[in-house]
Amino acid sequence: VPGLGASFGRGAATTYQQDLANSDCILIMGSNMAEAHPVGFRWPMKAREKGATLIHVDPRFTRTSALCDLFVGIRAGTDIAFLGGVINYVLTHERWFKEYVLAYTNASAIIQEGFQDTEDLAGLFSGYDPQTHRYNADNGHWGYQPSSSSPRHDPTLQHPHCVMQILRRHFARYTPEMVASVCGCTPGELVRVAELLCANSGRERTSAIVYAVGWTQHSTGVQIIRTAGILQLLLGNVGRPGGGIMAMRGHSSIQGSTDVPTLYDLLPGYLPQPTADGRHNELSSYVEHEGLPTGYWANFRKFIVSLLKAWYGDAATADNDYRFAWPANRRIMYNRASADPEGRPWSERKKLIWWDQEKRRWAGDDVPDFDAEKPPDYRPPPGATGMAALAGTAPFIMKPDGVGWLYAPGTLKDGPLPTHYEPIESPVGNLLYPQHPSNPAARVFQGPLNQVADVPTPEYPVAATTFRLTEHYLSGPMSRFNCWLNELQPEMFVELSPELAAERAIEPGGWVTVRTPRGAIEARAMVTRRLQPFLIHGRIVHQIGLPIHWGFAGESVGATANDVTALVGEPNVSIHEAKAFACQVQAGRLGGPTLRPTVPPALWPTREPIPDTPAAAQPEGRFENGHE
Amino acid sequence: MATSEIAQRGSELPEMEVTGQPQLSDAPRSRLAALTDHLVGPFRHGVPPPPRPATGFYTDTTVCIGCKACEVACKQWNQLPSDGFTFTGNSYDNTGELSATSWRHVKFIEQVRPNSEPAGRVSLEVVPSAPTQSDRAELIPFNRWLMMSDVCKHCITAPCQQACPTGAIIHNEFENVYIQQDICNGCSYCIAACPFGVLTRASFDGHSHKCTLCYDRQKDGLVPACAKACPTASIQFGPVEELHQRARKRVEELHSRGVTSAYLYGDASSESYSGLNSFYLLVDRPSVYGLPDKPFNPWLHMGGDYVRALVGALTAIAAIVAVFLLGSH
Repeated sequence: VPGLGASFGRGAATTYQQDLANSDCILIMGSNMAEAHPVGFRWPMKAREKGATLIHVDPRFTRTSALCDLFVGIRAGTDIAFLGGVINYVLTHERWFKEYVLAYTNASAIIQEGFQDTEDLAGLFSGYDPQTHRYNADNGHWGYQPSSSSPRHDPTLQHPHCVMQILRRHFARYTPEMVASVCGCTPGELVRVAELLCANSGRERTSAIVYAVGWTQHSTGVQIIRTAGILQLLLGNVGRPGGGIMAMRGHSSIQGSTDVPTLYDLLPGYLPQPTADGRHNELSSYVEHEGLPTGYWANFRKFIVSLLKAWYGDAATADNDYRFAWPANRRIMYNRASADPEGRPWSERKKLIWWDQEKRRWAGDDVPDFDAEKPPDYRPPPGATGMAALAGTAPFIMKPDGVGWLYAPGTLKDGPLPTHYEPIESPVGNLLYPQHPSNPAARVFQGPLNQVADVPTPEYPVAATTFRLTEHYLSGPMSRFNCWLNELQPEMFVELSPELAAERAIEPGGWVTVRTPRGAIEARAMVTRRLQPFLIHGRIVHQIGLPIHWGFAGESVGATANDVTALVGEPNVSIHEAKAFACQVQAGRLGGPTLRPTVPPALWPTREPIPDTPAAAQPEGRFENGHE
Repeated sequence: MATSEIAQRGSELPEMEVTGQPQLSDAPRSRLAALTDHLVGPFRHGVPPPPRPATGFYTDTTVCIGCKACEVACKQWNQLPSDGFTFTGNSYDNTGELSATSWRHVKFIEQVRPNSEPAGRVSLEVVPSAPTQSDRAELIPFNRWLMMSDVCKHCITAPCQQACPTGAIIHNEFENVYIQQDICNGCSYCIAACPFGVLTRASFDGHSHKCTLCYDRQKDGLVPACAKACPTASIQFGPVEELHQRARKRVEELHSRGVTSAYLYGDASSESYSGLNSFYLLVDRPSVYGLPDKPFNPWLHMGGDYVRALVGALTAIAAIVAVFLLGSH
């Protein structure tokens, strides 16, 4: 959520699933959409029927890969390296959408001179405190030039401290060859993906990116999503039909955790939970500390007052003059960007909303994501606040400056730009920044039950990731009690390549023990060429995949994959890193007591006759013939 | 079983229920009628329901995502038992085959080359602009994971129906092949006759069972459960004629996009087999999907079998007679 929030202003997906059908190219990465969101996957399929190219970049060849035009296998946890390679390709080949980037992003903004990039400090941004393992954005001078100094913008994008130049330097080393060494793909595969995205972006065409928890559950999760945000801004794909970033949610406690919300630090509607540290003792001080003077968040007071009214009714006495109905029935966020700065659609093929000069208001197929009567040539008067401070060319209304943030000046806790770090536990060191193998701001909760191996770890040479199957739901507490689902996926298994199986004398269908510093689990071997060893910096690195659906209870029981994952916290949202860790794999069982089903495996989930239905019309398959 | 009454009498059912109510004045006559029915009934033909346009399935394997929603929807609607929990290690297929208790079965065929073989990798060339059709052809990876939801083929000329000695297997008014469970005697001839391995006998009742094409749902104007559950319209249900047109258009589309291997299986009859009312769009040889490359109707060599049997019998009799005649000397 902060990954999208830092780039565009809101933490939600910028588009809706049905809009994927309007895409010309869809990059699915960090998502196994066909398996985890099979019903929503019909929209990418529709796009493909219409001629779109579908790309899947993933550690495993999955049922999603099977339906895509191109599959590229990468080692788990190297997503920033891959996307950084695409960004570098876009920049070095000058394939970015110039008019869009100049008008709708902060590419021309000039950053304070004191800011130092990871390229200057060998893997750290300025402002890092090695004692606390935290960044201080102010000390690091991450922010824009203060309003007192000038120039604050360079429309030629040549100023050495402007965002575009910082971006170019930051990603300069993400060459196809470097990316291939880190990710385990070939340089050609990276170029192919980059070229497909470039060819399918611009005025006439749009590309979309789809992700899910395959991106979020990393110690660099927020920054992976930021990388996608930067790429989509450079290609001009945000706020336009068939473009954007589709965050696949619906897993319990993801979107719901921010809407209901079940998250400990949020109130509904992305409002921060008031704290007891003195800043939030009164409504006015809460608003003062959490609101922003310009942009849509200037309505912060109205949001919280509305929420209080909703909760307390007449007992809430603040004047409720604004209803916070988010996102106000608009289908594509930031849709001002679907038209050029003058208010004309970028192309007939990709038009969405446009300025109607006669009626003096915005018209089109979607609800404008801003004041429908604000003309494109509106310029804010000096000292304006709130929405009045945003020009008629500002699509990203949740941002104080109204533009998309290629560079995030101080909102994220692990840097203004995404950087490739290895997972907290990895068999491979960081080829880009050997001195800083993992995210320096990530939180590691070391303890006897949560030991984490050093990077690179020779004792645990196999990369591991976790995944889910269509046949089971979440960790399986419902589906493991349903025989019609259990017969489809009856046992915990581990996916591994024939090469690894041969190396460790593992029989297909036989038992495998997977060890990490946290413990060991046993599973059946699914030996498949869909998993392939990677060539990482001249060395073969094997990788396994563990489904997350089993546990100790049900008709079907099995080892819990999360018993071997590490408890580490991503710096911004504290999400754990289940999608990339290191392990050792050997043939055979774990030993010790084996799990037994807690309920007897059933033939039917229920054999109750269908109520109010004559015997003749009962289902065919009961085979009762009049007797039990 | 009571459901077969529906099969035989179709729309008559509500009427039967009314006449079945006890009426005192008719008691003696109805006892006589019952006796007559009991004696004559088995030899009497029911009134067939009026024929309807043939319905069937068109399964487009190129859009199947292997989610198995069809398997579960089928089991739930028809209340079929699970087949037991067996991990096969064979891709994601753990139910193995079509059977009396699994009327839908999703097959998984992994075609992935080892890393060392360069043909498994995409081309290094860069496309200069928006991909053209020939680029798309080039994009199709060698690595494939084919998925196919298998089901009874509802053959227009069905060997199981031809082999059934009791007449339990019929073509119903929708031209779907249907087993009437109260007439099935469990002889299993249909199992041997089916060239697709669709049928097996249930241990529960000794009868053969298979896909009914949701006869009960069709009569109520509903789409079969599997087609209803399919999220990508890989399984399409409808009048066969309409499905043929849709499928042929789809093959043309795929050809124009460079998927030249796409073709329809079972949409038309061959020399050795009739058309299938449940037909498929495939992109590899039928045998890759576990389907016979050239299905053969066993009925076709029955004539020859009878002649050979007759010739064999006559030869044997002649030989015996000859032995007696020669032996008497």
